[in-house]
Amino acid sequence: MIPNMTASTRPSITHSRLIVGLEIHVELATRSKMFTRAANVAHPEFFSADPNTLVDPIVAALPGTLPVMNRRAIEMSMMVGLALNCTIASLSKWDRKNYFYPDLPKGYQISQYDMPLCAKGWFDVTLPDESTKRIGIVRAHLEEDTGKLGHELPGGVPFDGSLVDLNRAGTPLLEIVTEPDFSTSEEVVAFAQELRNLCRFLGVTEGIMQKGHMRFEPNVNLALTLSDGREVRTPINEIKNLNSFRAVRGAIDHEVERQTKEWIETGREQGRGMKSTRGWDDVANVTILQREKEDAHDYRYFPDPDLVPVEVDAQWLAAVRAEMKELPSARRARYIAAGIGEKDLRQLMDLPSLCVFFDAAVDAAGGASASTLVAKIVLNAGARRANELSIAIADLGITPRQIAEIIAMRESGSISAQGSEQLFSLACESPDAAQELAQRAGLIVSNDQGQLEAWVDAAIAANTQAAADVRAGKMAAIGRIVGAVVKQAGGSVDGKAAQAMIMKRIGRDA
Amino acid sequence: MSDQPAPLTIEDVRHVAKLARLAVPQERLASFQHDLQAILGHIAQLQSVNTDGLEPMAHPLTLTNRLGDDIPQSSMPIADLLRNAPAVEGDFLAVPKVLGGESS
Amino acid sequence: MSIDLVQIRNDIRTRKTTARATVDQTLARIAKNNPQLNAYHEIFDDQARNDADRIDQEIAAGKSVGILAGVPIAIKDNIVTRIGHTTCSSRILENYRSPFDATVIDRLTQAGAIILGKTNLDEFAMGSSCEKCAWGVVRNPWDITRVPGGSSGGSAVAVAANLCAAALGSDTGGSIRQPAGLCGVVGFKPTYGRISRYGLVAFGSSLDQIGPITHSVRDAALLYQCMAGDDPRDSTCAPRAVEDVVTTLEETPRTFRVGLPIQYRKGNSAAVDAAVARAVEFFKAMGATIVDIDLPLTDVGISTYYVIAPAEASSNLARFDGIRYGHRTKSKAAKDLFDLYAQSRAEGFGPEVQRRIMLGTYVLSAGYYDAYYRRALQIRRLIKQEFDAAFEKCDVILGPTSPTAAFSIGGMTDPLAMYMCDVYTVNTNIAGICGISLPAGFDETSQMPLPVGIQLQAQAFAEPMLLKVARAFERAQGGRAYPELKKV
Repeated sequence: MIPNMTASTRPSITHSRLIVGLEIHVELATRSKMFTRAANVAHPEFFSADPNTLVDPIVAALPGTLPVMNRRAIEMSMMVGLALNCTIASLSKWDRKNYFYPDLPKGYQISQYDMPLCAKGWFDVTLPDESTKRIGIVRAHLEEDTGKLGHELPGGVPFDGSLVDLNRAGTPLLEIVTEPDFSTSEEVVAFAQELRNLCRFLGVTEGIMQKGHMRFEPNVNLALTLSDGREVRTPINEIKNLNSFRAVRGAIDHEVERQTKEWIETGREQGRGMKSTRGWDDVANVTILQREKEDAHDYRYFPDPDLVPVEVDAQWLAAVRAEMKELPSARRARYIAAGIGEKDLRQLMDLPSLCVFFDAAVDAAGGASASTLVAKIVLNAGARRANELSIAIADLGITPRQIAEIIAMRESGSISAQGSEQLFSLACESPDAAQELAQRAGLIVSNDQGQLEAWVDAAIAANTQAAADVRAGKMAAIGRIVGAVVKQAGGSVDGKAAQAMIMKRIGRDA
Repeated sequence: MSDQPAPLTIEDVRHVAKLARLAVPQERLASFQHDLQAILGHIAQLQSVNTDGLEPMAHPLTLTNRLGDDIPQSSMPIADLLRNAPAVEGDFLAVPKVLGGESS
Repeated sequence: MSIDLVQIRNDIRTRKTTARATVDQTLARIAKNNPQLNAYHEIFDDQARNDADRIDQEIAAGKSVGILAGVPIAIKDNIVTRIGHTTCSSRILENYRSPFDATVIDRLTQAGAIILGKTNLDEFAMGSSCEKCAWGVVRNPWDITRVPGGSSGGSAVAVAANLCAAALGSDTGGSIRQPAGLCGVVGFKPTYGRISRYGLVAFGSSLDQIGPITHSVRDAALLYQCMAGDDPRDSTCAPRAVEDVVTTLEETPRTFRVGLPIQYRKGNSAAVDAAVARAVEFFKAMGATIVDIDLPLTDVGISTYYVIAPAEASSNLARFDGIRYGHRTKSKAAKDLFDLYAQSRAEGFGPEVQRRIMLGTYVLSAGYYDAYYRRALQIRRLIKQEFDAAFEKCDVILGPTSPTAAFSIGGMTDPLAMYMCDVYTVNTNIAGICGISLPAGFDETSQMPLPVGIQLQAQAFAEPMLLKVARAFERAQGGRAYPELKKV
C-alpha cells in the first residue's frame, strides 16, 4: 500500500480479475459418527432424531472417553479423493485443533492438519457453455462436525441464551480444499453442483443442502490492474458456511462489488494475516464482517495422542476402488449412448437412487438396448404414480424384474398399452410375477376371435352413427367404436386387433 | 543447537491464560510468571540436545488402523447427559447467549 | 503378618473367612484410620456389603466365582465408576457422576472384585505429594507428618495401611511407583497400551497408564492379568495377547542381567543408595549378572516430560468448561461466554493444574511449538533409543524409585524441586516401557522409619520377565512390613 494516497489520487482500475478458492465441508452419511458408534444425524435413518438423543459419553466428551475411528468414513473419503483424482496418502494422522466453543464438547476438534488422507487432485468441471475447466484440488481431509446452537425452545419459544444440541457433534466431515482456480461465480456454482452430484452418486452423502450436508466457504479476492500498470491484490475474505448455491453465487458477486469499492476507498492490499472472515446475510444479500484477522486464533494443533495413524495399503485402496459406484460423468455418457432423451436424462441424473433402480430394471430387461423402453415405463407411469403418492419411484414397490416382465409382455403383444399401465399399478402392490398379476386381473389380450367378434358387434350396434361414418370412409369415427370395445373387454383386448375386427365386421355388412 | 527461547513476559502469561480460558487476577499474574519462567528456564536444557534429523515421536506405540465398524449403538439416556449439566433448558444444555457464527 | 489379596481371595474361596467379614473388617479399619490419613474420598459401604453377601452366597451355593471374588479394591478417583462420584480430587468435578464404568472396572467386577471406594490424588494426577488434592492432604501412614507421594497417594496409603486388599492407580510420570515407594508397597506401571485407558480421566494421553498398587508382587501380577489386554474402546490399547504371568511367577529366570545406570547414583539419600546396593547383592546371590549401563538423558527426562505432559493436559482439560458437567461459576461478573469459561475454570482448577495448563498452552502456541513441543518429541525418540540400547545389555534396569524417602508435608514449596522427585520414573512413561516399585527397606535416619523403594524397569511388553524378577527379589527379602496404626 502506498501511504498518503486518497481515493482521488489513487490510480484507476483498468482491469479486474476475480480469484476464488473453495473449501467444501461434506457431512458423510455413515450410520455412526466419526469417532464413536453413536448414530449419525446425517444418515437418513436418523434425520428426525430429537435434540440430544444421538449422544453417547464420547460425543458429550465425558471424562475418561476415547475416540475410535469409523472405517466407513475413511473409505467414503477415499472414494471422494479418488473421484477427485487425488493421491490417497499411505499414512495420514489425526491432530487436535484446540478452541473453546459451546458446540465443541472436547474443547478441541479432531482433524487432519499436516498429513491429510487425500491430496493433490483435480476435477474437470463442465461450465454452462459446455466447455470444461480443470480445478486443482489441494487436499481433502477428514474431521468431525460440531454440535448446534439454537436460541429457541421447541414450539418456537424464545430463550434468552443459547441452547446446545449435540446430535450433529461428531458427524464425519470431509473438508475439500481447491486451488484458487475459479474466476467467476458461475464456475464456482457449476463446480459446487457437480461436486454435490458426485458425492451423492458415490453414496457418501445425502447432499441435502437445507440440512447443511454440504457447506461452502469461498475465499475471494481480486487481482486489479491499475492505470499506472501495476497489478495489486485485494485482501482475501473467507465467506463462511454457505449452504445454498444461490448464497455461493450471491456472496461471491457481492464480494466483487464490495472489494472493488473498498480498494478504491482504502487502497488496502493483500498481506500476511490479513484474511478476514465474513458471513452471508441471505435476506439483505450482503456479506458481513465476522473476524478481522486470522491471527486472532491460535489453534495449537498437535497430534492426537488418543488415535493412531491411518495406513492405506494397495490392497485396501483397491478394495475401495472396486467398490466405488459409477461416477456421474460416466453414467451420463452411458445413458446418452443408450438413447435416453434430454428430459429423461435430467430426471435420472437428479436422483442417484432412481439411477440405481433404473439400471437394475434395464439389466433385468436384457441390457442397454432396453433402456428407452424401461425409461418409458419407469419415468412415465412410474413418475406419475410416485408424484401422486409423494414418494420416490424406487420406493413404489414394483421390482426391476416386474418392470422387465411388463416390457416383455407388451413387446409380445400379450398386454395392451392400457393394460400395461394397469399392470404397473398392480405390481406396485404385489410381489407376484407380472404374468400372474395380468392373468388374475384379466389383462392378457384375448385371442378368442369369437369373443372379440361379439364385443365388436355389440359396439357397432351401440354406435350406429359411428359405424355409418366409418362405412362412408370417415375413418376418424372408428375410435369411438374401439373405445366401446375396450370398455367391454377391459385390458384384455388389444386396440389394433379390435380395429381390424371392426373393419372386418363393417366390411362384411357393407 | 537452537537459540534459547525468549523469557516469558507478563503479557505472555495474560495471552496464554486467555487462550486457556483461565481468569487470572491482576495480582496473580506475577506469581504465575515467576513459576512458569522457572520451569521454562529448566526446560531450556532441551535446546542443548542435538536433535538433528530426528523424527518426532508423538506416541510410544507404532500401531495403525484401529478401526471401528460402522454399526450404530444406542445413545445414552438423555437424563444421563442432563443430570451432570450445570444449566439445562428442556432437553438442551443452556449457555449464555452466543452471537455470531461458529468460531472454527 | 503378611496378608495379601491372593491370600484373602483364597481364604474367602475356601471359606476360611467370608467376603462379608473381609469387607466389614476393612470398613472398620477405614472408619478408624481414614479420618487421619485421608486416603479415601468416598466409600461405598452399603454396596460393598451387598456385593460381599452376594459373593458369599454364590460360594456357599458352590457356584463358580471369579478369580477376584470377594476382595475389596480401592480405586483412584480419576478412574470413572458408575457408583459414587468421580472427582479427580478437583472442585471442578465435585459433583460429577459417570454414567459408565471404566474398562478396568468392568474387568475387575467381572472377576468378582468389590469396589470399596475412591481414593484421593493430586488434582487431576498432577503432583508427587498428594498435597494438591481439593479434599485435603493425604498422609503417609508411616509418619503422618510426611507426604505419601503422588499422585496415586490415596491408593498407596490405602494399601500401606491395609484399608483395602489392593488398589488401582494411574501413572503418567511415576504416579503409581513413587507413592508406592514412599509408602512401602508394590506399585506396578505396565507397558503403555497394555491396560485400557477407557475410563481413566486423561492427563497426558501418550503417557498415562493404569496399574495396580498392592501388598505383594503376586497381587500385582494377578490384577495386571485381570485388567490387561486389548479394548475396542481404546485405540491405543495394544492388540496383543496377554501372557500368563500368574502361574509362571514363581520361576526365577535362570540367567538374567541387571543393568545399573551410572546416572542413577547421584543426589540420592544414603538410605536410598543403600537399598539399591542391598538389592544388587540379592540379585547377585540369585546368579544374576550385574552390568553398568549408560542412560545419559536421564536428567533431560524431566524437561521432556514437562513439555509433553502439560501440552497434552492443556488440551485434555479443555472439556472442563462448565457446560455439559462440572463447576460453573455463579459470579454475576461472568457476563459473556468467555467470562463463563475463564471464571468457571479459574474457580474449579487448583493452582498447580492452572500452572500446567498454562505451560502446556504456551509450549503449543504459535511460535513456540518447534522450540518446545516438537523438540521434546524428538528427544522422546532419543530417550526411547537410549533404553533400547540399554536393553541390549540387560534384562531389567535397577535403581531407586525416588531419590529420597517421603518428605514433610508443606516441606517442598518450589514446584520445580517437586518435579525433580520424578527423575527416575518419568522416562519409563516417555519411552512407554514398564516399571515396578518394590519395598526395599527403610530410611532410619528420620524420627520414624520411612520406607524406601527400588525400581525395576523392563522393555515394552516384558512384563512376564519383570514380574518374575520382582517376585524373586520379594522372596529374597521377605514380605513387606506394616506401619503402626491405631489398632482396630
